[in-house]
Amino acid sequence: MHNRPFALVTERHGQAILFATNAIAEQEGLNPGMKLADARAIFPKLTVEPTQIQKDKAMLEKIRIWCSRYSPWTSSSEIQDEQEKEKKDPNLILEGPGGGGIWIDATGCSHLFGGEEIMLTDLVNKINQIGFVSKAAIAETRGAAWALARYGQNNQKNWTIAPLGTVRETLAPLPTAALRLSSTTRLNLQKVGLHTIGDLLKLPRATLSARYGTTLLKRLDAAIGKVSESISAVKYKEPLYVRISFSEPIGNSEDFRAALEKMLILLCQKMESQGVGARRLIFTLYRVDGSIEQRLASATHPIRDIVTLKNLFNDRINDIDPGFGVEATTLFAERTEALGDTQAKLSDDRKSNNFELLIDRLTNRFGNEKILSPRITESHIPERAGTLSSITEKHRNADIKHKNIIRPVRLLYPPEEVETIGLVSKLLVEPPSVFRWRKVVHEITLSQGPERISPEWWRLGNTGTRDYFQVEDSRGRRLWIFRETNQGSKTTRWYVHGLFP
Amino acid sequence: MINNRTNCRSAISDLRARIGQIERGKKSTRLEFIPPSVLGTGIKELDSHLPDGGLTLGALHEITIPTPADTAAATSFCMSLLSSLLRTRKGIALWCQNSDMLDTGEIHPPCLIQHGIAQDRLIFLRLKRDDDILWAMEEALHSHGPACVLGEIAHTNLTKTRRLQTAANEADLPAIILHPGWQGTWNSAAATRWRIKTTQSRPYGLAKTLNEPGNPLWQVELYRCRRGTPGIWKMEFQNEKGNLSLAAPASNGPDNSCSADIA
Repeated sequence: MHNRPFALVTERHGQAILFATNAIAEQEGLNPGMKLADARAIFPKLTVEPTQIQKDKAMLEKIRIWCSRYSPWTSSSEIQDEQEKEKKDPNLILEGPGGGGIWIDATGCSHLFGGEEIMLTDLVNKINQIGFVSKAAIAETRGAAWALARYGQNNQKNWTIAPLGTVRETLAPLPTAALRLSSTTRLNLQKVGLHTIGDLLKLPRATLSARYGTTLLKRLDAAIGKVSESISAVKYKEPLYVRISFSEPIGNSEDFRAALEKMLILLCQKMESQGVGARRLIFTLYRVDGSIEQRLASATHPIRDIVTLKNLFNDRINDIDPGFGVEATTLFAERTEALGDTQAKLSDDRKSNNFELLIDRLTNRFGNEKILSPRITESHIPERAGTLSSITEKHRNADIKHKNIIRPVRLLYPPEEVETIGLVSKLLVEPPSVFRWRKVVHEITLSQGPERISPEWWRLGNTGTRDYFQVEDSRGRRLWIFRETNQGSKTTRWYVHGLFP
Repeated sequence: MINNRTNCRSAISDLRARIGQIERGKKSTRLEFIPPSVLGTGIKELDSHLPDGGLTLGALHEITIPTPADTAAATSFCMSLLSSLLRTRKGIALWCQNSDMLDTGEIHPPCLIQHGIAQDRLIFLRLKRDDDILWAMEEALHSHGPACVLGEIAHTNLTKTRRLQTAANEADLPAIILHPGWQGTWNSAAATRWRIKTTQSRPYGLAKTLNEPGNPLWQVELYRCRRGTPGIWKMEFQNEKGNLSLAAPASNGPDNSCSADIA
């Protein structure tokens, strides 16, 4: 791939265009932004691959994190202000040599590496070892460094240093593109013969802003250091991960508990400094033979209390099989959520908190799906009107208006067919006078109905139309029965669906 | 003489209360009587019959379903108690179900509206084994989290119920066991044991002529009551209001007089 022309291709307005090209392709005259058809006309054997912006970004972020070895202040440079808005197409942020880069605020850091030259050489070499070609530059402004790294005359080691106080002179011969300008502005400048930054610096400022907008002037000022441009550095987040290694393998549950507590103390400190609480914890035990055992605990709300977190694991430590012994344990807060500093309350809130903790304990012992919450939906179909579903499912409870409809206390899933005894009228809608359900004969003495419930036609898997009756038998058993008529076969079946008190 | 007798009565009731206090394990430094917190059932006759003037909150109560046909009645009775509890106390109730006992139907959430229970104040826990349910109930009581703990249990024994009774007492929270009587019985440490039987309803008003079922009628039997006496009542569930009341004496219609024979 390195020794033949290669390009990444993306799509803009329905056309395949080149997104990025390698050095050999550039020598052939292929440039980013060119249509793929044109590029193929110039060089038919061009190898292309689709662009994966998200992966590029992720990779750039990884390199950025790695770069924090040089300075605590790093950020990845995607062009993020006016130019991005002008383009409107987020896919083009990384276009051309203006694409991905990393800012390192090396102020006061270079001496740690033995000077700016050694630091840059080290940086370029190390990134080269990872497998990327890179260019680097040090200058006194952010804009100048950006311009020099991309358009400057690099030495053989692929880096440039602008000596202090020479920004104007260093930038003057560079093309206007080095000012992080949009392609339209660049083109407009070219049309009137303004090719280098030096050309722009000679012109009066007022005319520049009048013709080309304020962005150009802003960029120019930032590059030569008239206005300051800061790096919004990404703060380093300590991973919420704790590990303990043991000199002698441990093997009993009391020791596991002690290890867990020790790790929880450390983890809670880390979480407190980040202002988060754990939603899911993974407790991993590494056995001597290389196998691992994991215990997972989850909570319905963020927790940072050592005792509470320990209790989440309480019932699940005894069954850990230590094998030949456990040599190390780790604890990882896999999911966290913001949790402010709270003050202990003395009022009723404690009770609701207790309930949440209880639910967490029950969830960790029995599983999420065992804890159910009643849901009432605005529907006439009994099976849909009320269900019990897991409390983890978010659900907006319907505002129920039909309060006076009497519904059974218990509902059978599915409805059970009954055996009607004797004559049942097929024409009149009335319940059977005698039927057998679960081997018991019910003699109907009282009945109320019918209440016709039609299927909701907009749903799939419809049942037929049902006529419901509330019936009472001679022994006082109150049941909810219904008749379902199948239009096709003209058969009528009776079912018991619910039990009334 | 009369004065003497009332003195005597008050002395006896005071002694009873103290004994109850000792039984409940509440240690007070002073020899003064702390009345236990109770749940009024809303039925005067029932409350006055119960030793503390209502269902003792920090105690275990058992509701027996004599036959599968009475399941809905017992469930409804349970919900009525729960409803009056949730009206007076904050918190959420935990209802532990045994998934093997669901052949008598699942609780149908819309009926909660009728009983006056807000749907966000009840959480169900569905487990397979009785021992898990007992564990969860005890754990819930110890946590002081819920307002009330209910459990549908098929089998348990004296020791296990005693554990629950102690936990409920310490937490001052009610624990209610709902169990199918046809699957077996046990000696229990519960403060009260109830048996709910469904009976024929009385068609009322217009419904009488139309042969429509009226308000549900139950025979509510308190067959064991610690520090109290058993009793039997005929109760009516008011469909419209969604509460329990004593059934009005039958003027005519089906015979509703309480029969002493208890199946």
